[in-house]
Amino acid sequence: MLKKSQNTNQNNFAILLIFLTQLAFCFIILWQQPQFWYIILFLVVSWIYLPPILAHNQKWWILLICSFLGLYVTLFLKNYCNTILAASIGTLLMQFIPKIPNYGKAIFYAGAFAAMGDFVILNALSTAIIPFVCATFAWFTQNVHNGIGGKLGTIGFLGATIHFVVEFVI
Amino acid sequence: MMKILVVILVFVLSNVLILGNHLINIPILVQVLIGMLYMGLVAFFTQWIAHKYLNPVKSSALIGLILGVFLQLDIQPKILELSVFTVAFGATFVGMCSSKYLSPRGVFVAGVLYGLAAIYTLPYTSFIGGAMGTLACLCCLVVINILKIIQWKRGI
Repeated sequence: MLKKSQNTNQNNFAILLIFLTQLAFCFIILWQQPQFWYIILFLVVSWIYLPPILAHNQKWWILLICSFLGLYVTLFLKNYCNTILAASIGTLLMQFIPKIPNYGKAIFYAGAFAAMGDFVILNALSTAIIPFVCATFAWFTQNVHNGIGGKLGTIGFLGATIHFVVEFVI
Repeated sequence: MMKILVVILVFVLSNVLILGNHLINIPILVQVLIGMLYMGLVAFFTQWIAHKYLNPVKSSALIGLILGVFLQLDIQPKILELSVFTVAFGATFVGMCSSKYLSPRGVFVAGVLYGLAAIYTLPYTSFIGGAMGTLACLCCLVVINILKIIQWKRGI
């Protein structure tokens, strides 16, 4: 019974995260750049509502490695072709690598989306922040909105936005 | 395998023949309408391939590959200074929606809605990666919830 309520808490938290991310997108349309205060508010609200951690089906480190690969491969291929081709080629090639779970292959795409932004370049900050945020966000939201189009894009978007704000501040 | 190759070939040819570089001399409103319908079709097509032959990620990446090749060859019709094939890559994310949530007709409607929203919002957000995906997710959620409300009103 306790586990069921904890699961509900965790799903509510995941939906809150997705809602806040999409609100961030709406704010970017209004102000035309990510707002520093909103990201701080986002992190504070996320921390306050952080539910107890339960056992998950997906492994966080696999999500981290795969999103890092998505980011790295897309940024590398961006030097030779356009961003859409870079993201697509990387993701299609990833599908043929055996022994990687399906959720790893999917989160690769999220890393690729994050790398599609104009300002993302291959440096220590981007390779540290974007995969970490993508993997953590994907890990928390693994039980909600599965099968809804654009969820991976939302994951990539949050990684890219937080990276943008951190880079802007530094 | 043969079937999917034929389908992709038809998609590629229709892209070149219908859009090509012919959008320039058409009034803006008609351009936007064509763009919206095109996004709906791309979303529908992606879901159809995902449902019949591949998984959603492969299907989206495959369509993205075709669109990317067009961009690489510099075939890019534009609506309000926005490349149609770039925006269409976002429509493939709408097409990644499972048929459990949206029927093919629903995906087409979500794609059309995405087309309208993308044409007017992406110029302000496209510098951040994942913006098209977030917009696609918002459009899917809007259509899913509208359908739920309609079902609730009908008492289904």
